[in-house]
This record gives sequence, structure tokens and C-alpha cells, in this order.
Amino acid sequence: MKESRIDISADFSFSYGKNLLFKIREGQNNIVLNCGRIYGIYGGNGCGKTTFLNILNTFLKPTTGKVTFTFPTYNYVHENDTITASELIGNNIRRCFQTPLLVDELNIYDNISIVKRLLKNENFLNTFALGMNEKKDSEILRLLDLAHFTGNEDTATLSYGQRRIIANLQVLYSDAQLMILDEPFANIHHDMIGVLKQEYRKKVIQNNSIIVIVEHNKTNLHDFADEIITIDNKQLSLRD
Amino acid sequence: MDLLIYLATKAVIFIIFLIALNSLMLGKMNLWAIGNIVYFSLGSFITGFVSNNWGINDNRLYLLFLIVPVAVSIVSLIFFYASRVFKQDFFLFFSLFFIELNFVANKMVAGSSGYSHIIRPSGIQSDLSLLVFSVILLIICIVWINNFDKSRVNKLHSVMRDSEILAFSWGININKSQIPLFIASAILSGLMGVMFAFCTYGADPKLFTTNNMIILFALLILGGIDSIQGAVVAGLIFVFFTYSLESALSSTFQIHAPKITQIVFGILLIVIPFIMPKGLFGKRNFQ
Repeated sequence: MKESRIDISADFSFSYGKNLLFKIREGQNNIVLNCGRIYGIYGGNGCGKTTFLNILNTFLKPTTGKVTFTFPTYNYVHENDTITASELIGNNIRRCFQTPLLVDELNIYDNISIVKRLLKNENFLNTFALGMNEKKDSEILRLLDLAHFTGNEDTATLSYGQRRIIANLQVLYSDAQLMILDEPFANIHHDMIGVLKQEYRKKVIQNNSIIVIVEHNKTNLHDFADEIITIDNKQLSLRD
Repeated sequence: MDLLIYLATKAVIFIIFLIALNSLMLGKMNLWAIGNIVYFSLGSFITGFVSNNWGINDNRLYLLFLIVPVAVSIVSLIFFYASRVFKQDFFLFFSLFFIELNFVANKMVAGSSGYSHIIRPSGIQSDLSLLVFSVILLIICIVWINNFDKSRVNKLHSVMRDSEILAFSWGININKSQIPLFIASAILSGLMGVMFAFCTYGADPKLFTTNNMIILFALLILGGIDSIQGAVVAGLIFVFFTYSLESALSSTFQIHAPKITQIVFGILLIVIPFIMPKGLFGKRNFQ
């Protein structure tokens, strides 16, 4: 089976109009993100960390150069002239946003279960079939138990920290090959941070997947990441 | 008794139409699809045209239940892509334009008084049989919507409605997911147009205007967004309350009675969101 890998070409850069936000540091070869590894992104405010994540998420296109995604089920070259590929995202990429995005109408359990796409059950014609109730997934219940939730809680009444935990559990449940985490541990109790880090580490090894994380807390980042990508002075570089 | 059966049939037809509008368009996709009246009108006018000009009758009139969905699907696809281009307020403007266009087209094809003497197909020629047929359709519709609400498809629509960014980040193709729902709502509306033409033996362009649609929306807000009970309450009020109010007012205000009724509903539209943000049975607040 093919292993996941993300290749960022040496001529990769991103600009807003004429203003360069970042480019690969001169002299640096292409950056390769390999499976089974956790990559931390470090840089000051406004240096383009979230923008970089948006490119990896295919929300934005690189201005120059390309990002090549190789996943077991999908290959995709993300260049300036290519369209954004929702098929690529499918079950391959999941993200924990800086502001946790949850669906308030659904309870916690459904917020997690819906993150994994089950195309067979998502067919419109299935809405005519009676008795389509899905069985409870034991993996979701295990994840919920880690954070002392039952799953029936009303999402709208959760605190900000609890919403963050659920957003993390979504990514952990997803089986994504690329997990993008934008400050995932902010406002979470340190005991829970430890549990989440362990779960992420387990997932990366189990699924042979890649984690890219933005984190302002240096300790959290260095504890967690195998390699660090720095964005400094508009230059992107990779170091161990 | 005949009047009661007639009003009950009309109410059931409007309840199904309102379910298509409330539970599908507004409830699942958050679209203030004022243009749904166009599909309803299309159903009625195709029925009038086929019945008056082609002279087909009896069982062959059941073919309308195939012809209308096809015609309405095509029109609704145009509407759907318009809804992608003209979001929210602009979609409303586009819908208003479409209603006016439909009004003019109906008048051109059928004349200002529309079609009359529409024939009912055999099997539903009596008022009672038409009522029974309508109730059966309503039951099927309610079972389907209840099933839909429990499905994974409904949860995906919740994601799309809540946050397009989140939906996109999960690889959900919003257009592809919404098209079947959009067309289903249009088809249901079109079929109710056919039933309405059978019920009233006519298709009058003046019935399918923005004014009537505003009344229906006012009642939907009263009933509550994305709820079948809300659509039932709205449909019953639309038929029975309007009839009673107009009958009561007609002796005093004569021809102005329908206009006064519209004013009453207009006030309702403004006041309800303030005093009952969720309406009577709504799943979420009016936004």
C-alpha cells in the first residue's frame, strides 16, 4: 500500500496580491512531510501559519510552486492553476480549526460521527428507506469517555474549552491521512492536553498518517512535534 | 358538508406544499424559497393546459403526475443555480422576478382569468375521493420527512447550513448534496399545483402571486421553521382562517376584505419573530 506523503516544491511561495507572505528559504530543497510524523509550525503573529494550513487544506492555492499530496487512495498536485479538490479532502484531510466549528443542532455524539464520510449512507435515496438508524460506534464512545462525555450533551451549551475538546475528538475519530491542527490545545486543561497528545501520537502510528500543528505554546510544540517548520522573516524552513 | 370537504382538501394540499417549503427548502437549506409558488403554479397551469387544450381525460390525466415533475425539475435546476450565484437577499430578488415572469407568462398563455373547467381523472372525481387521495399523499410525505430527519443526509445538511467552511473542510460537495433536496421540494410543490387545479377545477394566475407567498411565509414563521406540525398549523390557518376572516369581513368591507386579510398576515409576519422567535413548533429561531 502507498504511504502518505506531502511534497512542497522548492519554488513554493504564497502572496496576497503583490505582498509576499512566505516562500521556501533560499538554499532549502523541497519540504517533504512523511507519514507517521508530527510537524509543528512555529512563527510570530501574522507570519502566515494559518494561511499555510489553508494551503495544505486546499482552501488556498500556492502563488508559485506546488504541493503534491500522495495518499493511499488519492494523488493530487495542488498548484496555482488547479482547482480546489473537495474529492481530495474526502476522508483524507481533517482539521481542528482555530475557532472550533461544531454544529449546534446536533448533539456531541453526532458531531463526532458525522466527521467520517460514509458515502453509501449519504445517498439521498436512502432517506426513503425505513429503519436507517446507525448503530453507536464504540470508538466514538471510547473517545467521549476520555473527556467524560456521554455523547447526548447539547453542543450549544458547551464551554469554549469543551468545544475545543470535541473538535479534537472529531479529528481523532476521522481516520484522516493528514490531520491539520490549528492551536488545538488552547483553553484546554493540561491533564486533558496530555490525553489528547497521547491519542494523536497513537493515531499517527496506527494510521501511518501526518499531523501538521500550529501551536503558540513552545513547550506543547516541542513535546509533541517530531520536526518544526519555522516561518521567520517570510521564509519557510524545516528543521528537526 | 361539501364546503367542509372542499376546504379540507385545499388545506391538505397547502399543508403538503408548506412541508415542501418548510421542511426541505427553509428547514434543511435555509433558503427563503419564495419562488416555490412558481412550481405550484406551473403544476396548476400545465394541468389546465393539458385538460383544456389537449382534451385528454380519464386515466390519462394521471400522466400529469409524470409530466409536471419533469417540467418542474428543469425549472428548479435553473433556480438552483441562480441560488448559488445570487445568495440570500439577491436570491430573494431573483425569486421575485421569477414570480412576476411566471405571472406574465401564465396570463399570456391562459388569459387573465386563467383556466377553468379542468377535468379530474377517474378515481378522484368526487370531492371526497380527492380528499382521501390528498390525505394519503400527506401521510406518505410525513413518513418520508420523518425518515429524512433521522438520516445521515439530514445531519450533513445541518453541517452545510451551520458552516459552509466546515462542510467544505470535510469534503462535502454542497451543490451536489443540495440539488436532490431542491428538486424534491420543487416536485412536491408542482404536484400540489396539479392537485389544487383538480380541487378548484381551475388555475387562476392571480392566486400565484408574491402576496399569497408572503402570507404563507408569515404562517410558516408562526408554525415554526423545519417542523411538520408548523406546516400543518400554517396550512389549516391559511385555508380555514382566511376563509372565515374574509367571510366575516366581506359584509362590512366588501371587495376590500381580502386586502384586509393580507394586512392581518403582514402584521403577523412582523410581530411573530419578536414574540415567538421559534414560532409554535420550530426547531430553531427565525433568522
